Amino acid sequence: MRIDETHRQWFIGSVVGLLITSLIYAIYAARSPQGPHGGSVMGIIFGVVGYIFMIFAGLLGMRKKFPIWRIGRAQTWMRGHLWLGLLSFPLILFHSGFSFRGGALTSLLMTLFVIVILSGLLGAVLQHYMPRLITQQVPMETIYDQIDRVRGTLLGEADVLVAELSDPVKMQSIALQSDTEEIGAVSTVLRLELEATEELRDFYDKLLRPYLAQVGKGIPPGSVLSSAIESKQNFVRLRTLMPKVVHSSISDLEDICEEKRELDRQSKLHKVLHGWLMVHIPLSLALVILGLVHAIGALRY
Amino acid sequence: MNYFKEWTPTRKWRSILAIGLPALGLLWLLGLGVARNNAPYSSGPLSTSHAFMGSQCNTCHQPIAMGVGIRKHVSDESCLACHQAPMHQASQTFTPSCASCHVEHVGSTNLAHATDRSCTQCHSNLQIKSGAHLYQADIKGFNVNHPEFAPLRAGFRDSGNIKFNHAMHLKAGLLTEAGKPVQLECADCHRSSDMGQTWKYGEVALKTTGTPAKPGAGGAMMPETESRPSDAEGPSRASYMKPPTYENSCIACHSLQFDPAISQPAPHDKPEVVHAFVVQKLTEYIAAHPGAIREGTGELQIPRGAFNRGSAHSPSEWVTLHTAQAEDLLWRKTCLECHVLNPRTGDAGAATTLPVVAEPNITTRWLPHAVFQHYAHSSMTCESCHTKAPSSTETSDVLLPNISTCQTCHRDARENIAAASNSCSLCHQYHDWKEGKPIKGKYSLQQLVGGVVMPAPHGEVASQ
Repeated sequence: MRIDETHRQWFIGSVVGLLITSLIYAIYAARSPQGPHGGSVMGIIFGVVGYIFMIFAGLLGMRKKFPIWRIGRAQTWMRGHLWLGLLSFPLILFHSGFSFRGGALTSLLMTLFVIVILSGLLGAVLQHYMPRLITQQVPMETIYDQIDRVRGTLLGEADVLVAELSDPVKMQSIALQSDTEEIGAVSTVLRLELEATEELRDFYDKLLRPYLAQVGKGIPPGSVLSSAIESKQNFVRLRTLMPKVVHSSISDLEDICEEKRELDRQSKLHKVLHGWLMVHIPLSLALVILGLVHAIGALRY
Repeated sequence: MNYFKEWTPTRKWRSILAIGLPALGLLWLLGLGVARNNAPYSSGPLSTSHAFMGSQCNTCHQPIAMGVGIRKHVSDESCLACHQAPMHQASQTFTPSCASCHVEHVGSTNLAHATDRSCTQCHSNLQIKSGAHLYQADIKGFNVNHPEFAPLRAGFRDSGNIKFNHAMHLKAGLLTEAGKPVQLECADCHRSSDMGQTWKYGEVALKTTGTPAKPGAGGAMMPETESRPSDAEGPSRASYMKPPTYENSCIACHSLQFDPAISQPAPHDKPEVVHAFVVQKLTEYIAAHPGAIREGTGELQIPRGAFNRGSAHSPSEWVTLHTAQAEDLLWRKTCLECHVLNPRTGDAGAATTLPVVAEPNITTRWLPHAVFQHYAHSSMTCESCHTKAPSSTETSDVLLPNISTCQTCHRDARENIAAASNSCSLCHQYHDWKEGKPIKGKYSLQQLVGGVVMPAPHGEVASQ
C-alpha cells in the first residue's frame, strides 16, 4: 500500500494525537514525585489506550480473513493498522516512562514491541516502493501462488520442444518442409543434424532443464542461465550449432528461459515484499497475548 | 483453480510461527507459574536491601482484606510490618504512602533515598492544617528558593558561654605555659572523631611528654572508653564536631595553677570540687611544711589590685588565708578568662562565696533539621568553608558556612558535570526519628528467603 495523499487525514490525526498525549505525558511526568511509571494511574491509562490500539492493529488480520464482512473498507483498516499501530508505540513508552528495563516479562514485551514496530515500518516502506519496482522488473507478473505451477508448465513446454528437436525423423521432416530444393543434400544435413541434436540435448540436459526444474526453491545458485547476459550468450552459441530451420524453436526455448527468470525475480521480490511479515505477524500475536498476561499481572500486583 | 487454498511454504511457516511463538511464551509463563515463580511479573529488580527476599513476592504483596480479590498491591501495612516510619509533621495536610516515595523494583541501591519531587510536591507550595508557616513555603530545591541557614539569618548569635577569640588563637607566635611556640590548627580543638590521634595540646600528651605532642603521634592516647572506629563506622561516627574540652585542647596553655607552693593545678571541675581540692592541697602542704607559717608575706598580682596575703598564726589560719588568695586568683582571673561566672544566690554557709559557672552551651549541631558529614568533606581545608573563622574575635560570631558556600559544589548536575548531589534527602530526613518506636519482627528467616536457609559458616545447617 502506497503512503500517499489518501493518508493525509490519518497522518494529521496521528500527529495531533501524539502531540496531545505528549503534552499530557509531560505534565504527568513533571508532577509525578517519583517520575512516570506504568503502575501510576496515568501510566495505566497510557498502557490501556496503547494496548487498545495494538488490538485494533492486530484485528487487521481478522478483517483480511473475512473480506465479506461489512466493517469498513480494507484500505481504511490498513491505514488504521499503520497509523494507530505506530501511535501505540509512544503511548506504550509513556506507559513505561521510557524505561526498557523491568521484569523478565516486561523486558520481553518491550523487546517484542520494538521488533514489531521496526518490522512494521520496514514493511510500510517496502509496501510503498516495492510494487512499482515489481511492475518495472517483472512485466509478465503472475499470481504469486501460481508461480510454481507456471514454472512446471514452462518445464513441460521445454521438454516437449526439445523432444521434438531431438527426434531425427521429425528433424528430417522439418528440414524437408522448410527447404524442398535441397533434398539432394538431405543425407548430409541429417548427419549434421544428428551432431547438432546431441549438442542441443547436452545443453538442455545439463544446463537448461536443471535451471527450469528449480521449482519452489528460487534461483538456482551458480546457474549461468540466471543471468540474462550469459543466457543470451549460450543461446547464441546454440543457434550457431543448430540449423536455421530450428532457430525459431530455440528462440522459444530462450523465451521460456526468460520467463523462468522473470518468475524467479518475481518470487525473490515477493519474498522481500512479504518476508517481514514472517517476523511481524508472529511477534505481534505474541505481543498481544503476552501483553494481556502482563496487564492482568500488573493490575494484580 | 484451488491453488489459493494451498499453503505456500511462506504461509505455512508464518502460521506455524504465529501459533508457536505465543504458545511458547505462554508455556514459559505456565511453567514458572507451576514452579510458583512469579519473577516474570516483577516490574523490575528489587532494591539491594530487599534483594534477599528473591521471589517471595507475597511477603510484601499481600491481599488487601477488603479489596477486589485479585489485587495484591503493596500497602503501607506491609512496609510497617518490618519498618518504622514516624510521622513527618503533625500539621501536614497530606501523608504520602510509603511506596510513593520509596519506589521498589527499580534496582535501587538506596531505597531510603527519596527523589526531590517527593519533598517539593508539598514544600514548593506548602500548606498546613492551621496556623502560620514555620518554614519557607516555596522551596523548589536546594538551589531554588532554599532559605539561608537559620543560624546565619539576621539577628542570630552564637549562644555559647565560653569566651573564645578564634583570630587570636590562630595567630602565629603564641607560647605555651612552658614557653614553647605553637601554631594552632583547627583540628587541635575541633575533631569529629579521634581516629586514634593524640590531642596535640591535651592532658594525655602533657602527662606523657610534658610538652605538647607532635602532630600525628599515636600510641595509647585515646580514652579507654573510646574504641578505635573501623573503616566502616569511621565516616558515620565522624559526622558532627565534638565540643572542644579543656582537657583535650586548652590545658597545655591554660594552666589552672592556683598557688606557687603547689605544683599540681586545680581540677577543671565545678567550683565546689575546685574549692575542696584547693583546701586539701594547702592542708597537706602546711602539714608537710609547718615552717611556711612564719614565712614572710607577699603580694600576689591579680587583675583587680594586689591581694595582701597577711600573716597566719596557725596552720588552719594559713590554709584559710591561702585558700582565699587562691580562689580569688581562680574566680577573678584564671576561670574568668574563658568562663562566665555568676554569683551564687539563695545558698547559705561558706559555699555562698563560690561562684556558679555558666553552662558552656557549645552548639554541636547548628542545623537540627539537617544531617551533615564532616568526614565526607575532609578533603577540603576548614577555612575554605568556615571562611569567617580566622578573623572571628567574638564568641557570638556564627562561623557556619553559608548556603552559597555549599551551593558551590552542591548544585544541579546539568550545570556542571562535577557537581555534587543537591538532593533534599542528602541533608534532610522525612521521618521524625525522635518519634521512632521499636519494631517487633513478624517473619521467620524461612518466610523471608523462601524456606531455603544457607548452611551456617561453621557447617551447621539451620533448621528448615
